[in-house]
Amino acid sequence: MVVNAESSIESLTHNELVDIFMGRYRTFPNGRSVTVYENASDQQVREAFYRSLVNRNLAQVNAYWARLQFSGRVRQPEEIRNLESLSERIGSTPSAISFVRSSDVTEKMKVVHRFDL
Amino acid sequence: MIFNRKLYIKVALVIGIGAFIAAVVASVFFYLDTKFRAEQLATNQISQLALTVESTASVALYVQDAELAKEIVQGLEINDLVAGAMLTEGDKAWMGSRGFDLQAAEVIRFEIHHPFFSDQTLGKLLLMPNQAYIDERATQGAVSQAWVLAIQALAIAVLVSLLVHKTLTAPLNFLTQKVEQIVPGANAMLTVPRRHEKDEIGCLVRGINTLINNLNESLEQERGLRARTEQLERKFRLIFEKASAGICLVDSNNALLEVNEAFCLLSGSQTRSCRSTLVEWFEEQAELEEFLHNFRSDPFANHVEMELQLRTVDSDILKWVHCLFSKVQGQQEGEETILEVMMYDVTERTYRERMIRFEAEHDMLTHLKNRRAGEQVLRELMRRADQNNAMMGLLLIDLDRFKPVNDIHGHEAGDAVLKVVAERLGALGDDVMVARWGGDEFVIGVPSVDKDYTRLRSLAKTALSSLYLPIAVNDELECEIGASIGIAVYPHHGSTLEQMLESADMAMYEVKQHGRGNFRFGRLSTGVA
Repeated sequence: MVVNAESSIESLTHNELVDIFMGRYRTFPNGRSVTVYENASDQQVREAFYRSLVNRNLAQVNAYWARLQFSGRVRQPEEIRNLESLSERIGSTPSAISFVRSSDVTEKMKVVHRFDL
Repeated sequence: MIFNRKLYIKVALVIGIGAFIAAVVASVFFYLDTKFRAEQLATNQISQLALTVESTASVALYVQDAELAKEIVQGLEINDLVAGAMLTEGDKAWMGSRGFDLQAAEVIRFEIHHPFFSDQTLGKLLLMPNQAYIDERATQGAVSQAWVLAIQALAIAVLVSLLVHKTLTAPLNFLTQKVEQIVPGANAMLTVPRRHEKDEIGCLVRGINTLINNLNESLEQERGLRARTEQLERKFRLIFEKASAGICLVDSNNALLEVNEAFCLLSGSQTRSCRSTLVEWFEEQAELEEFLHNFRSDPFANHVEMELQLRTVDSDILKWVHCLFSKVQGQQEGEETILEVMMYDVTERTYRERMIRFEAEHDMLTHLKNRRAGEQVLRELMRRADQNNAMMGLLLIDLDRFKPVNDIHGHEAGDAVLKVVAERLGALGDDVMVARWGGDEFVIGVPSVDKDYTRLRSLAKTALSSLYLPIAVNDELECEIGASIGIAVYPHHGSTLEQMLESADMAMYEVKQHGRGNFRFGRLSTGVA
């Protein structure tokens, strides 16, 4: 689980992560706004991430978002299709948060939570 | 009331009422049951509704999506079963539908869990059941069921009444009419109605036929018996009515129950109504009443005979009747004992007997007691004087100058003189006894004598003076006689009747020797006779 390397956030609990990723809150616990990026480069890591986070498969997660979509108040996170652009976005957005494999962590990212698979 | 006269209508009515009550009870039960089930069903359906929307509600709550929440609660309200819905966040009201009433009594609560962590609760879904709709649905069901039951009850009542009428009442009516037409004694048998040969109706007809047969037989017997009884009764009545003896039946109060013709003849009454009790008919009323009382209470006395004086209706002539009193015991226990009294008229016989006795004791010429009866009375007077330690006396009267009357004027004149003498002596007193001793001799017995003989003296003087009065024999002849009297006092002048008579006789003889027309007492018996 990574954020902008310059972010003041050092670590996040599982619950805080769920609230942020599933659209409940749009701020970090300290009140700063948050921008969620979906790592869509690798279906496997996505699958593994949601399984660890909320114990749901991707189809279920999509269905969840579909329910919320029509009111328009909450948006599904923006999907980034390759790792390079994800790394770019995280680096250029101070409020960014996303998930990558631990082997894909760059210096632009700061790890705030770690899921063991 | 037609209901009371027609059996099948009564049966139908009873069944109808029974079925109606059953229908009412069943309807109430079904109504309550249906309502309960409907409510349960509604609760189940509401639960299902809640389950259906739960995950969406969970999401809406999770992300605080008011739009989504509004959709959910309003969508729920569309359902007939739900009057209103509300989502709460924790226990705090958040989003309610238009129809939701916070004060509603009947609210079903469902917990809304976290969409991802099912052990966490985010809030509640409150649902208000649409009670009016649920009740209406239950009532509709119950009412239609009640209608079905009522129609069923009616149908059963009509069917049963038709059946009862066809199989029971109609044949019974038929039978009743036939039975009413039966004349006792006529051998008219009933016929079994068709298709009822083997059932109770057939049985009833056969039973009635047997009954008619028995009835006819006993009627025949009864007729024969009655004829015989009537014949006997006629005979007995004849005996009772035509008996020569007067017969009365008397109850325990001496009231006359029955009298026969002979009694009416005897008493001279047309009916018994003039004197209703037996004792009133008799001279010795009080004595008879007492006797009857004693007779009834004496268990050993059954028949008593006696002679009584019956007072007839006209001019109260007394008749001597010989009565036979008999107890007639009632046949049943405790029935009162009545008395049967049979009477024969014995008046003539009694008078004849009295006449004979009178003739035996009296002198037929003077109707005074004769010597034999006089002696008896004197002895009785002496006995009584002994008993009372008293005295009695006798006057021996011999007429003077009587023989010439007889000799000169004949015996008829003598007899006439004697009759007058007897009358005059008879008038001396009621307590003295006058007897004709024979010829021209008379004896007077005096029951009580004082010690100075005053009574005897005055009696003798009265007798003498009355006998000195002239006696009219007939229109032309008048006689003058007199008398000499010797008096003896018991026990001074004799201890036996013979001594007394002798003493009186001697005194009288002395009077005769000393000029007649006087009286003298006898000598005391202490001296030499």
